[in-house]
Amino acid sequence: MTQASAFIQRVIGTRPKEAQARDLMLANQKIRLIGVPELLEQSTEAFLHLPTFAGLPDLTIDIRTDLPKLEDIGSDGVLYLDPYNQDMLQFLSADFALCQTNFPLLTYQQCAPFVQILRAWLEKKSITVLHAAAIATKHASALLIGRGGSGKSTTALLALQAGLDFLGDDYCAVSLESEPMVYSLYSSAKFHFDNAARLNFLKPRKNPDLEKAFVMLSKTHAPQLVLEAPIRAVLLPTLGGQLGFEAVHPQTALLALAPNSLFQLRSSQIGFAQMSQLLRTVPCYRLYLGDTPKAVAPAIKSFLEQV
Amino acid sequence: MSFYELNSPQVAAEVLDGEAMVIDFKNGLYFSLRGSAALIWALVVAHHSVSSIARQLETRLENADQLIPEFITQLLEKELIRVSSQETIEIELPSLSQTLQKPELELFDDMQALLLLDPIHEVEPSRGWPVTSKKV
Repeated sequence: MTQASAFIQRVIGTRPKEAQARDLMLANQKIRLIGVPELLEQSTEAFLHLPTFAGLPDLTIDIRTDLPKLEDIGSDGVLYLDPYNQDMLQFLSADFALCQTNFPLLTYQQCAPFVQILRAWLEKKSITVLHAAAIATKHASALLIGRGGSGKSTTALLALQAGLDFLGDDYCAVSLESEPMVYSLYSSAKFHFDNAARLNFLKPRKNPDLEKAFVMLSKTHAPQLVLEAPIRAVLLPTLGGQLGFEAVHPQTALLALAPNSLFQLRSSQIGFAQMSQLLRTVPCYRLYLGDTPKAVAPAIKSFLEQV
Repeated sequence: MSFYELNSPQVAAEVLDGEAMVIDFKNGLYFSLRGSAALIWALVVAHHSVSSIARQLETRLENADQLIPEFITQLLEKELIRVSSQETIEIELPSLSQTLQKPELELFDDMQALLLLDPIHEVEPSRGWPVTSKKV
């Protein structure tokens, strides 16, 4: 028995009796979450749009507020810090993760639970977690990339309002195996209060620890939440200009995508190479948002039908 | 004669359609290299010597003998490359009709704040979970 598997056995031995399990299929992987009911409920709300599965999980995530004593984990496991609460620690081995979390969860943790663990684990399956939004028509999807404030979330939510499908507004996962595919991770969406008027079809929650409004779309827009879609375009939303699309060099897209995805989620060189490969494969365009928000989603829909 | 290679794993680079993006994972800096800078980068990380690179680009880059060593010195100072003893890899340069501009290393430092949020932590088995340093 390796040091990591001995540690995992000790962790399982200290699991609270009232702990429950919730199974979900995420990016075609079987994930089992285990925790006490109140913790599990908050930790899984953003996953409510995902289906369940039968059989054994590929990854078990054990959620705790208190951690068992860690002895030497050897080289079979890796430790991370929660990107949203750096006092919280996470352990990951090949098929088991232990996540320490505060309770109640911070809003960021509720909107994107276990993002660091999922990023690290999915990377080993050649699936890359990106800091990007994704929307889709019935046939194709577009990734929306760019820095915070560039208009990713607002564009994704305007598309949702116009009837397009939605895969994520902040993080999503991508694989390149047969063709570029995007997978939904979370049904949460965040937006600045400044945009509340134009997004008044959403009823955001009050949240004391987040400067943005947030909603869980699984409760209001379930039919529009799709789990996966082929990627036909990468779009860089850009405020202003005349509504339209302009081809950009893939390096321009890589500069918009990679830094946030890599440094926020502590991705590795593998993730960087996968992002580069994605942008070699899929055409990249700057999307000028113009001055008529309602015109944006129809333009994207029409564009996706052509590319 | 010196040869160089990518300063991996601290640094990673991707070349897309003749333009390069280089990331330093240790300090959060990242760089864009276009035009002649991307060409020089491709040759440097394929372990070509300064004189070999100058020879290959001299017809397209004015003052190649001066600009190329200066640019490679910048790459060394930023610790993006290191001295290598590996053999040169022959690569095919794109055929460009126009004259190349002076090589430039475009630096971005907007991600450094994210790295500063991550406290250095050490695993101390005797004390249980890693002990985190105080936040910066």
